[in-house]
Amino acid sequence: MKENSLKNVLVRYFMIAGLISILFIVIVTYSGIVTKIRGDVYEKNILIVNLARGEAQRYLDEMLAPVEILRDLWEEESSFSGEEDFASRFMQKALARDPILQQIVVVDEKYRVEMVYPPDRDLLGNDMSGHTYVTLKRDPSRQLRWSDTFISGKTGNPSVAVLLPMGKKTMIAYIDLAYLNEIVDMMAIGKTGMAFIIDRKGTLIAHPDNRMVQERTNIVDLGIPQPELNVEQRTRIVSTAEGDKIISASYLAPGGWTIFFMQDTKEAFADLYRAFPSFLIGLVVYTLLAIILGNIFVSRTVQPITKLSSAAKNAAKGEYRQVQVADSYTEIDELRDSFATMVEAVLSREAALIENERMLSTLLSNLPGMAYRCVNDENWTMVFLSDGVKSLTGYEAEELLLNKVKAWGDLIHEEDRLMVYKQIQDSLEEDKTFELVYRITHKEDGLKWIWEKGRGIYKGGRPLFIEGFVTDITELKEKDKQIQNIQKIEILGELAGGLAHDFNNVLGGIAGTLSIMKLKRQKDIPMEDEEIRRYVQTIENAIERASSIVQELLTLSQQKEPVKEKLDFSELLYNVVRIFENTLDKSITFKTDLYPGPVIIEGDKTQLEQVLLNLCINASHAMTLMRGNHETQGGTLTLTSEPLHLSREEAARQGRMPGEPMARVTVSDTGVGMDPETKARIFEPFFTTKQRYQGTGLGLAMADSIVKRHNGSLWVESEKGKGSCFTLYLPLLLDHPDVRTAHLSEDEESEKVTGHGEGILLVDDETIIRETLKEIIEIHGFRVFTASDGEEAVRIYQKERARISLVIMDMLMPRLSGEEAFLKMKKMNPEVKVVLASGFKKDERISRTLEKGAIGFLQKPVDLKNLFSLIKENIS
Amino acid sequence: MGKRFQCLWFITLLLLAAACQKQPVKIGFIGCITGKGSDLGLSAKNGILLARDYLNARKGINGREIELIIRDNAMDPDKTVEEVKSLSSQGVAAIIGPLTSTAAMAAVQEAEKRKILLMSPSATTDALTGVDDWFFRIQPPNSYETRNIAAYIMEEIKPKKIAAFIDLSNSSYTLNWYESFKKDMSFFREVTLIPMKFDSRDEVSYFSMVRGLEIENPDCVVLIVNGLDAALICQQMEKMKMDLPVISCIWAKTKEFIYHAGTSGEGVIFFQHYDEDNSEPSYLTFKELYRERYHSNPDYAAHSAFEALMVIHQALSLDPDEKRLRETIVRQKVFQGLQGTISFSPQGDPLYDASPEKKLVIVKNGTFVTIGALKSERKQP
Repeated sequence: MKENSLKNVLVRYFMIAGLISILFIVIVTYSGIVTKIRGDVYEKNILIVNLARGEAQRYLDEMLAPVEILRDLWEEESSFSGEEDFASRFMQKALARDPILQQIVVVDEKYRVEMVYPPDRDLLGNDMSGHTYVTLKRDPSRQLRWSDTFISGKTGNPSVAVLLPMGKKTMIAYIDLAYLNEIVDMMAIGKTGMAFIIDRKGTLIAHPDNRMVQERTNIVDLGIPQPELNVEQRTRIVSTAEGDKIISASYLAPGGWTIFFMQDTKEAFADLYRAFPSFLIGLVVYTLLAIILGNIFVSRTVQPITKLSSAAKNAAKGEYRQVQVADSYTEIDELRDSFATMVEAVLSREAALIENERMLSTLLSNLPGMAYRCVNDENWTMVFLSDGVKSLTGYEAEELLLNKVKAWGDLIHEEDRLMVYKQIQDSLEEDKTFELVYRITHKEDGLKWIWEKGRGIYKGGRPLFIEGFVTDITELKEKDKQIQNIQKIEILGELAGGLAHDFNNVLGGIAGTLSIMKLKRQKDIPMEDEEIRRYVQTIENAIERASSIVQELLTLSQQKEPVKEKLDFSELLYNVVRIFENTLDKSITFKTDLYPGPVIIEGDKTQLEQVLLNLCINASHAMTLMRGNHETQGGTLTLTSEPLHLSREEAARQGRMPGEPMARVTVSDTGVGMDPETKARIFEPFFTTKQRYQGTGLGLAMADSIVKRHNGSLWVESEKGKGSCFTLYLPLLLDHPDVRTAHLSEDEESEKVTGHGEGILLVDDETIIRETLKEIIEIHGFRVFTASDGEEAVRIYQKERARISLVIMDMLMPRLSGEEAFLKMKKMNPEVKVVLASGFKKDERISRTLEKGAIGFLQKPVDLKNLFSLIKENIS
Repeated sequence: MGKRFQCLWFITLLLLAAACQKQPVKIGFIGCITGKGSDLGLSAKNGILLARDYLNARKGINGREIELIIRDNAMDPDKTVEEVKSLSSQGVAAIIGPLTSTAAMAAVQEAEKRKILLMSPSATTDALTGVDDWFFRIQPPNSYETRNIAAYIMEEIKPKKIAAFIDLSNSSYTLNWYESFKKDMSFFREVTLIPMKFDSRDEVSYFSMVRGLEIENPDCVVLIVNGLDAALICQQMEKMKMDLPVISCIWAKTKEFIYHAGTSGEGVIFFQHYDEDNSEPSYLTFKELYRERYHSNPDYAAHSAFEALMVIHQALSLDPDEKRLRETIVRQKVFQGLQGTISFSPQGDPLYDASPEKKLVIVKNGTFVTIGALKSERKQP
């Protein structure tokens, strides 16, 4: 049985209550007895000591009576005339009758011994003035005076001198006090009870141990304090070297002596000590009885509670049977009824809970995704997963719970793990809800894009768990990509006019120059070298311009996933401005206020250009297409940029920390503006206020999406009829090398590279490119082999392998792609050095080929600096 | 289980503590404390009891209490030897006593045999001076006193004939005193010494004794007797109108003398080595405590007994080994007394300065009054 069970506690309390009562009774009774016995002992001892005093007093009185008669006789006779006179005879008789009366002396007014009896020649005539008691101021009354006690030189016994004044003379009676010993001997009681007498200095003058009297022992030497003089009687307990003593004292007035009766407390209170074990035995017996009876009574009392407790245990196990406890005590009955009511309530709540659980389960299983609860650890160990997990991940919930087969952390795409971890921890730190988009690996279907929203569950201020919801957004992502493409086409459409015009100019320039040269040739008009160099320069400039336009178009038409990299946002803005200003309606004034220095951010250059172009096109439309037929076309478009630290207001609006470093870009127009309703919806996909075929309604939605993916934000302020202002914020990268400076520091490498007939295989299906590059490379002293497709390239390489030090190969070629050709060459020579070239940015195929051993990549149109840098690196 | 163990542990600790309690240091005392002639012994006993309580109240000897075992030898040499044996067998560290020279002479041999230190407050016989034995003492030997008394007599009285009462009940002291005095007086050839011997333990007629004195007709009287006998002799002399200068040995300088001599004691001269009017704080404290406890002034016996226990206390505090007590005293040599320091020779005799401040005491108006140095040494006005 448990130590703190109700029964035990009740028994304990029962016993405590009983014991306290009995202890109280015992203590009260015992103290009563103690007081009574002590009172009796005190009384008895006082009686004894008073008896002793009475005896001593009587003895002294009896002894002094004849002396007083003698004094009277002496005074009557005036002096002893001889042995025959009455006084002398009386004195002889008195001394003979009582040997205790040792000597009688009469001193004259000069304290000289006038008479001494028994006669002593030595003493007669002696001067007694040395005895202080003799020379005390003479009292006119006839009061007796007592000397201090002393040891008689003759008997060796304690003695005292009693002075009887008689006019100018004094009679002195020397009394032997040995008889007092007989009195104290009579008072001996029991083993330790004894009486003793001390004089006024505390010296023993009577004691059962006569040696102590002989030795003139002072009671202070025995550890007994001296009594106060003239205190009639008192009893007290004193601790001495021989133990505690009860001492009663009584004052013996004539000599200033004190009579004591002393007894060992153990003997004096023997009755009390004898009674004590009986009390103790009684107490033990009562305690045992209390334990037995207490057990019996309490067992009976707690029986209904035990039954009730058993019913409660069953209920705890889920056995909700009717509580079967018979009527007992009112309180227990009430408890039983309350318990029954409680059981009913529990049952009904349990049913409700089951229903709720069922409902929640249904809801969760019907959600397009899964709800979860996981531990906030590195693996995101799952402790709860709703039914959607199977379709989302391909795994059963049991496989993922507690990381049994796979941890959630392992499902997350390797590239996204750090981002996911960082963003979740940041949100948890600020106790915020987080929203994430990342990739996971489905058990069977490969990569999937998911969207997750969640929040930390805190205990003691620490985020121990995370609860949230995850849904598959792979399809949405695909659609998003498609929308982006559509957008790009839209933008291309917008730009096409301007671009066509630009190209026309370029081609016109080239054609014109060539025509001039051709004409001069046909007409044999001689051309100076300087003149030829100028024409070639014009053509080169035109080609560079064309190449730049093509590059921008290619950028816009990319279909790759956004790749974030460190970039100078200022440079990007200048590019946008350069592209945009050529296509702008002439009715619009374009103003820029751009930050002159580098503004380094991390982002996808293409996507961000797309965003800015979108905003600029929208602004231009707001001032042209969207105006009414009768309204004046045009206005001012202003583009500004600056790096800054967020103000408190800006930070609050964006949910960021004040002072966070950001790049801010504003695109403002003086166009038609928006009412608040329109403004509220402009970031919704397919929402547009433009006329049909003027816009898809995807531009701003996509811009907003791109900006959010860059951890930035896009805001709009607008007033109907006055214009709009779009503000774009992007986080700044602070710890970066200066991107633009790095670009600018590149050397004119091509000028310095000179070959010595080393062989280079140049593979490109475009003849112009192939031939142009061949000539340039050869000018630098290299031998160039050319191939127009992959198959030819492999063939030439097989033949000329020994002489070919480097292969520059286009990726997209008919018959055999660059990748396939590379693999074949590598088979022939695992050490083959192949540089890939493509008009597209590094895509998956290029990355793959690079991973397989290609040594470099050249962006087309080929930058000669890069080309020769690669040649130098790999041939020299 | 735990509680039971704690209880057992507690009880064990208590028992250990009780076992470790320091045993008391036992010190014996032998003196005549009963009967006639007990005045010296009773004073010494009072002094030593006061010293015991005083020192025990100050942590005793290194925390050990002093336990006194007091024995009465009734001035009997044989009993004294028996008490030395008995106290030695009880394991006392030292014995304070005996008080009289006769008893001391009897005890010395037994003490030597048992290697037990005797520290006498008052035995002054010269027979034990300079002897390498186990007898140590507080009072200077007789020769110190007799030399000064002889000098006083020759300076102040210049007698031709000196009568000396000698009590044979303490012959070791009195005869030694007399011999020493006689030796000192032998420098003065013209002086005749008349020894008048008696035994106070017998029936004595002072009248007859003084009668004999009258016949001898001396120029002055020297008393080599106890206080009571000295008083009674003075009384007889006064009654016979023998107005002679009386000089007494220190033995008689007790309150008994004052009580019994009355005016006949006036003018009696004593010589003592200590100063009753000393103002050292330790002496004043002692005096105060004594008066408070015994309602009278301490005499030289009480004073010396107190100092005897002080010396033993200091020596055992320095080295608790009781068997090395004698060695410790000899090695330490100098100890604190009530009126300054007490030094011992290696033979256990107190060392006094060659020209100490000598203390002559005269009885005046029923009390002892210090009159200072000898006339030759007193400062001239």
